[in-house]
Amino acid sequence: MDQQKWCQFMEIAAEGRGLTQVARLLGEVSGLPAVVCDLTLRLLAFQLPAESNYNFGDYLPLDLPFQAERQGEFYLGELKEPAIPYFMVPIGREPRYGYLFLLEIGADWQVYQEPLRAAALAAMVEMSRSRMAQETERHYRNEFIQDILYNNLPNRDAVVNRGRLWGWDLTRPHLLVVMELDGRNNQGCRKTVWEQWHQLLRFHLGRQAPEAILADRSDQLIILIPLRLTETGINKSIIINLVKSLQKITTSHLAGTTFSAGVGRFYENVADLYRAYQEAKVALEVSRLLRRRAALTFFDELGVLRLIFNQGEQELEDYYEETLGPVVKYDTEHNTNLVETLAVFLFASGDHNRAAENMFIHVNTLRYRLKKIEEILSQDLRQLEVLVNLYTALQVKVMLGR
Amino acid sequence: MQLGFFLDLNRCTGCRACEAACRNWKGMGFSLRQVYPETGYYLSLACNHCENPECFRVCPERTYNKRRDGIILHNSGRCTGCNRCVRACPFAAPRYNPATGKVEKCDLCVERIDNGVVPACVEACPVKALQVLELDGKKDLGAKWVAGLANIHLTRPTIRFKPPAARERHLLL
Repeated sequence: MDQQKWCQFMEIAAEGRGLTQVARLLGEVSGLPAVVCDLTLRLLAFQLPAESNYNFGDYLPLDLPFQAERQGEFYLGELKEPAIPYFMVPIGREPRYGYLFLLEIGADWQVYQEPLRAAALAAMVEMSRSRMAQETERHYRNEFIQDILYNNLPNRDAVVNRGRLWGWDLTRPHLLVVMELDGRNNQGCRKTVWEQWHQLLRFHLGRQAPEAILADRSDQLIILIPLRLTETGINKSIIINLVKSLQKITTSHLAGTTFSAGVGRFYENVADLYRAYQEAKVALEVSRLLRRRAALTFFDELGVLRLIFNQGEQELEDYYEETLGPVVKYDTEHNTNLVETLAVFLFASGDHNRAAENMFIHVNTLRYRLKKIEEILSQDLRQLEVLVNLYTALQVKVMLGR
Repeated sequence: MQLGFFLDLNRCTGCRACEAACRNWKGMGFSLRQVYPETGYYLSLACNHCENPECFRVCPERTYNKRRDGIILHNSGRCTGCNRCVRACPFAAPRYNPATGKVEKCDLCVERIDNGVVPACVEACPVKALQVLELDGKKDLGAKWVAGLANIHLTRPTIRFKPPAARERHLLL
């Protein structure tokens, strides 16, 4: 590629003419379809030949991480459907901004290294510029949201007035959801995944709930969703559907990554959102202690867990030993699985047939085991009080990581 | 940004100078910092300015707020002395003041911090076991839990510890 073309790419970047112009020039120089994507492979700009009939939708049909052949800084691979060979270079290294693709690549891929490199550099300038603007806005938005969530503003009027500057109607009641990625290992890899997840959710939330406010704090994402209070309270199904849809999108786009969410109670006054924030974090933390994944936990549905989560470890251990200790001891000594049977029975809401089905055993075997548990504990499993104690002890067992 | 205490358990001798400094600076009959003897070391504890403060959540009067630097402040003007925060805190940080009928809590000597001076307890520590540090979430600045501290899972306190090292025994013959 001659030096003049390099200059043209740099001119586009210097003048801030946008990613579309970068893709257009790359398409002209290479004579191949060119696509610019963000970290989640969402199409940001493309230059496709007039005669082509590609319809990729919002995302390039590819799985992350790339299953592609590496050629230095470049990658050679094939799209999923339709199976089009591509030549790709990541835009930026640390931080990474996105990916630049040339499609319908042939055996002469070496020829396109230079144009792709020049275009990636121009795209990096464009994307870093817009990232800087986004980061500044994100910083100030997060600070404002943090002030609301930490009760740093004097009253409701102050919250509402400052919200107006952002174009938000905070006179309406909002429900607060806190979300966090599951699994806490590998911080380096996690940071990239978190950034991808943030981009993904920002885009889809903007589509599904345009009035919702998205903020982030440490490794959590916070959504404020304006809701209308009905005669029967709030409609939780709106939140459930939204979070489930976001979970589905996250899993499909980020190679099986999941996240959990906690929801605080509903407060009509926006000045009480700080309370909802703490409650949502408690709900999320309790679901973490119960080792749940991809969970959506409402604070007002925690039930008895709300009473036990804050107890000291020693009290919980004592309670567990006193309630379930004899059964655990019997299991260890006789190599049986009575605790598991009890757990399945209780989580099947005391339905013998369903519990037996879940354990792949005959219902009479289940009845025999439950009878054995009754003998060991000298208690009647038909008594509600006994069932509640055992259920609580099983929850404590999970919390203690037994 | 989040400010928090750092306690070096190898250095703390349990002299209670931090307790006395807190009492003097705040001009109260009791200290907002307390030193608990544990097996082999001393735990000097005040408010841990938690990430998920329970005192903050349970207060019905909107008495608490958390500044951008992570310091949790208690607004005495709004406090009715209901003691819900006292019961909710697993570290017993908020304390009821019978003289005023309100709750008092360590505010990391915020007026000193704002003037670039360390809190009174930190300044008084003769062996520099107690310090204030800035947590940025990236660096591992010390242990989050040591024996003697209450359950940290829910509230996520910001205090960090240098755990006690195994000590060698020297016998004089």
